[in-house]
Amino acid sequence: MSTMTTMSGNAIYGLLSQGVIVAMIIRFVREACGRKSLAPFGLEMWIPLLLVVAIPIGNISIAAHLRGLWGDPSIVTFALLVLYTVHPAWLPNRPSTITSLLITLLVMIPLYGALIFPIPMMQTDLYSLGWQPRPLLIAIAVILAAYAMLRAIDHRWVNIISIALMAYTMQMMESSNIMDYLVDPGLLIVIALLANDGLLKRLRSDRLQATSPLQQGAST
Amino acid sequence: MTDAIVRRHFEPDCMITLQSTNRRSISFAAIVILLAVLGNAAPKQPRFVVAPPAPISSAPASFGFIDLTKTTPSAHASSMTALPDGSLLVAWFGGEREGASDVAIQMARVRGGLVEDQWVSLTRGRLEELTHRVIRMLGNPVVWIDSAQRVHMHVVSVSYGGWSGSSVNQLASDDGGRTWTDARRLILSPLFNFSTLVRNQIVPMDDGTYGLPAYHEFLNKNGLWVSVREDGRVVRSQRMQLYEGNWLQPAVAPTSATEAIAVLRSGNQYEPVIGCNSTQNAGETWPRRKSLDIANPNASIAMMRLADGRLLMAANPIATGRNVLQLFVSTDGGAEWLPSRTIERDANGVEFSYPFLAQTADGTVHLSYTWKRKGIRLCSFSVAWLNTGDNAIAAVENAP
Repeated sequence: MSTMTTMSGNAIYGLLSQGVIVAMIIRFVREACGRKSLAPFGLEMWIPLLLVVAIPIGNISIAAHLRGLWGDPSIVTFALLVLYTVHPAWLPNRPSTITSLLITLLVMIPLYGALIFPIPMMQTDLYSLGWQPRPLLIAIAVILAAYAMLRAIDHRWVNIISIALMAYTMQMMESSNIMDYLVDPGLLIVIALLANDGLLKRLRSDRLQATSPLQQGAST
Repeated sequence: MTDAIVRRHFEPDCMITLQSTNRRSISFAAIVILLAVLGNAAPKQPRFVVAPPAPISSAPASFGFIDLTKTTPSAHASSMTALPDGSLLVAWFGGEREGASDVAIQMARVRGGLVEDQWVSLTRGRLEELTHRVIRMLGNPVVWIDSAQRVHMHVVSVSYGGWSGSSVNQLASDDGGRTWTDARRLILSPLFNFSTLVRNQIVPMDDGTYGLPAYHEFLNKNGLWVSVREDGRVVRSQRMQLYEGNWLQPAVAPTSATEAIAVLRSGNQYEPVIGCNSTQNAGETWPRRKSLDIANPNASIAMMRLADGRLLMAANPIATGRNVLQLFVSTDGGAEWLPSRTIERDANGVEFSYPFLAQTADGTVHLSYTWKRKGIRLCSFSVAWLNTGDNAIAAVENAP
C-alpha cells in the first residue's frame, strides 16, 4: 500500500508557512509580555519553523495538522509574517493607533466579507474573478500606479504585492486562483495583530514614561 | 479620524519620494504584472465532448445484478467508470460507519457480472501522506479515466469537523486504482477552502479539461461547475444559479456540444422535488430551470446520456424515505421525463440510495447503488430492457 511520496513545491510552501505562523505567534506573545528578542539572525523564526515541520504527531508533522485546520496562508500574509518575525523594522507602515486599527478593520472586514459571503447569499461571486485574472491584474496595476503617482504608498507594500503576483505566475500554491495569493481570512487577523502589536508598544512606552522620574516631575 | 489617516499617510517618512528604491519597486511591480498578464490569456470556452447518437441497440432485454463482497459493516456512495477492456471499475467508501476513522475507499473490478478483484484502494493515512495534511474522514469517491486511459479519482476529505468542512482531492493511478500518486487538493473556496464536495461523474471537454459537478455546503447548499485539468489544476469554477433553499449534488449530462442539463438533490423540506439547472454555453453559465415534477427525499440522483442520445436518470422518486429506486428516461434533452423500470421497492426505512450510472462499450448499462447501507449492489441491463415490463414491480425481485 505504502509507496514513495514526493513533496511538491506547493506542499513545501504549505508546510513551511505553518512554521512561520507558529513563529509569529510565539514572537507576538513574547513581545506582548514585554520580553525582548534573544535570538539573532532570524533564529526566532527558524527554530519554531523547523520544530513544527519536523516533529510528528501521529504519522504526520505538526505543520500538516495545522494545514488541515486552516489551510495555507496567502503569499501576502506569509510575507508579512516573515518580516514581522525576522525583522519587524522592514514591515510596511501599519496602523499603530486605535483609530487606525478601527479603520483597518472597518475596511478589511467588508472587503473580505465581499469575497466570502457572496458564495452562499448572492449571485455575484468576486472569488470567481480570480480564475482568469487579466482584468484583475490590470486593475491592480492601475491602483498601484495611481498610488505611486499620489506618492501615498510604501514601496514595501508594492514589493510584497509583486512577490505575490510572481508566486502566482509560478503557481507556487495549490490554488490556481489569484485571490488566494493576495488575500485570505488570516490576513485580516495578521494585520489586526500587527496593529495591536504597535498599540502594545505604545502602551508600554506610555507606562514607562508615566513611571519615569521625568514624567513624575512634570506632573507636579 | 480622517485627519489622523491623512497625517499618517503624508508624514515625511511614509511618503514616496521617487527615489531609487521606490523606482525599483514600481519597476519590479510593472514587470511582474506584465508577465502575469501575458501569461494569463483567457482560454477559449471549451465545449462538451458528445458523441453523435448511435442507433438504439438491438440487444434483447436483459437484467441481472450482483452484490459486491461486503468487507465492512457499512458501505456507501459508489461510483464507477467503464474501462477500455469492457470491465467496470467500481469505487465506494466503507468502514465501521459513515465518518468513522476506519473508513477507506474500496474498489472492485467487475467483468461480465463477476467480481474479478476487490481491494482497499485508499486509506486516510495514505491520503495524509499524499496531501501533507491531517485527514479525519473520507467519502464520496468519484472514479474516472482520462483520454490516455489513466485512472483518476476525486475524493472528499475532512480534516476537522463534519461534512460541511469538506474539501475535494484529485488523485491519479498508474495501476488501475491500486495505488495513488499525484494527489492535489482542489482549492475552491476563499474561506479556508472548506465545504466543497463532489458526488457525480465528470464530463470531458474538447480542450482536454474536465467538467466536475461539485457543490458547496457552507451556510446554504448550491451547485458548482469546476473545470479541472488531468493534473488537478483548477482552470475555473462557476457557481450554478442559486435557487431559494438548498440544492446539492448536481448530476450533469451534456445533450450537445454547448448544452447540458444538471439535476440536483433537494435539501428542502418545503420543496422535495428534483431541482434543475442548464447551460446553453458549455458551462459558462448555469441558469436555473423549473424543478422537475419528480419527488426527491433529500437523496442523491444519477444521470447520464446513453449512447443513443437519450438521457437516463436514477432517483428515489418519493417525498420521504429512500425505499424506492427507479429509472426515468428523457428523449428531449431533459424537458420531459418518463418513468421507466423500478429497480428496488421495500418498506419505509429500508434504504436504496446514491445511484450511479455508466454504460460500457457493448451498450450494457450499469447502475450501482447503496444497498441498505450494508453493501453496494450493481445492476446491469440492456437498453431494450428499459422499455419493457411493468414498472410497478421491483426488477431485483424478478431477476434470474
